[in-house]
Amino acid sequence: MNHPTTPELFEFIDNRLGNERAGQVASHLVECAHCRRRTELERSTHHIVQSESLFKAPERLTALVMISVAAPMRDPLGLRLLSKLGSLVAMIVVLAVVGLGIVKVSGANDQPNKTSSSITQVVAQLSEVYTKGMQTFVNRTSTISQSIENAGDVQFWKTVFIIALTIGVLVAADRVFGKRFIKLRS
Amino acid sequence: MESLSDHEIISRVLDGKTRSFADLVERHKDKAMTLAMRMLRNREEAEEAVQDAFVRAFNALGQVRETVNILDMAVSDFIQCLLDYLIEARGTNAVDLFRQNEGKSEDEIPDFSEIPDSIVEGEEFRRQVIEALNELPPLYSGIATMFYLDDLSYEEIVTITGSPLGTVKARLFRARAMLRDGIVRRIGTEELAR
Repeated sequence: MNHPTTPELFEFIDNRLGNERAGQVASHLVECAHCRRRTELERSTHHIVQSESLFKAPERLTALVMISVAAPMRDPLGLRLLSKLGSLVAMIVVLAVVGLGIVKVSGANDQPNKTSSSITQVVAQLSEVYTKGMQTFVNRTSTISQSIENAGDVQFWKTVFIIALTIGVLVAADRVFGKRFIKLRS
Repeated sequence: MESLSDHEIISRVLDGKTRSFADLVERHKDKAMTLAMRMLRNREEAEEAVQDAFVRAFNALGQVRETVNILDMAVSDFIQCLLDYLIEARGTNAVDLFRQNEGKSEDEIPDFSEIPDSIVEGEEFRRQVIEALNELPPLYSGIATMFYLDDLSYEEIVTITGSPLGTVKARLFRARAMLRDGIVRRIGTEELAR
């Protein structure tokens, strides 16, 4: 019989080889010093790795973990929940604004928009209020806004600005309230 | 002091006795640290990964309804956490981590029968085994540690890693073969030449 392959030998050691083949390998091991040594090496390695002393985790680890997992419970104002709700609302607004932009683009030339729904109209009104506020801000604070106005594609830049601002708010909310755990270092 | 099983501790945590989670951390932190050290090889990163992993496991507890497979899920999360750290720290991906520093083919290994008993049984051999284990590519070192240290079966590793049985067996065999080759190269080149 040829030497068993390495996977065969490992399966033999792990008692996962079929009975017939396991018998053949066992017989081979009686005759073959090379394969006996292969088997002994694997068994010795298993024993050594298993009995090797473990790396010690720092004593403070348990305390740090418990501080981290307790953090959500010390949130009496429910800021995390508010943050999640705020993120959800903001995401809906972003999607609605983007959707509105798509609807407006697809319904160009001031044709009546057949795909508009009451939800879209409500969102459109909300975004109009939002846009007016932002428009005031832009007009007052930036000369760039003037050049954008002059560029003639105001609606497009308004939408971009609103989306960027909303994403900024989302990121800030996540940074402030979404931190999962406290990393304390020694 | 009563000694609860892992599942009993988890049940208590799910019942609102959050402090019981500390018992679970205490029980498993050294094994987790060992696996993290074998894969990350950096104490600071390993400590951070283990802490992160336990917190992830705790947060995951609230998202499951049955505790039957919760430990497998927690260990699986832990492995994923280590992988995330590895990928971030090494600036590579999981596939490349398996490809790093793969050993030579079996043809280049000396005749095993020439290795005397005195070497395999000695303290020096123990040191060589651990050094060879530390030199395995991180993911092979991790899978070998899971198999040897925890005596996990192939099927348990499948559950933890989420990889198919064939993949687990192939990687485990590869890890064990590389480890053996590393050991033999060490003792072979030094001792067989004497």
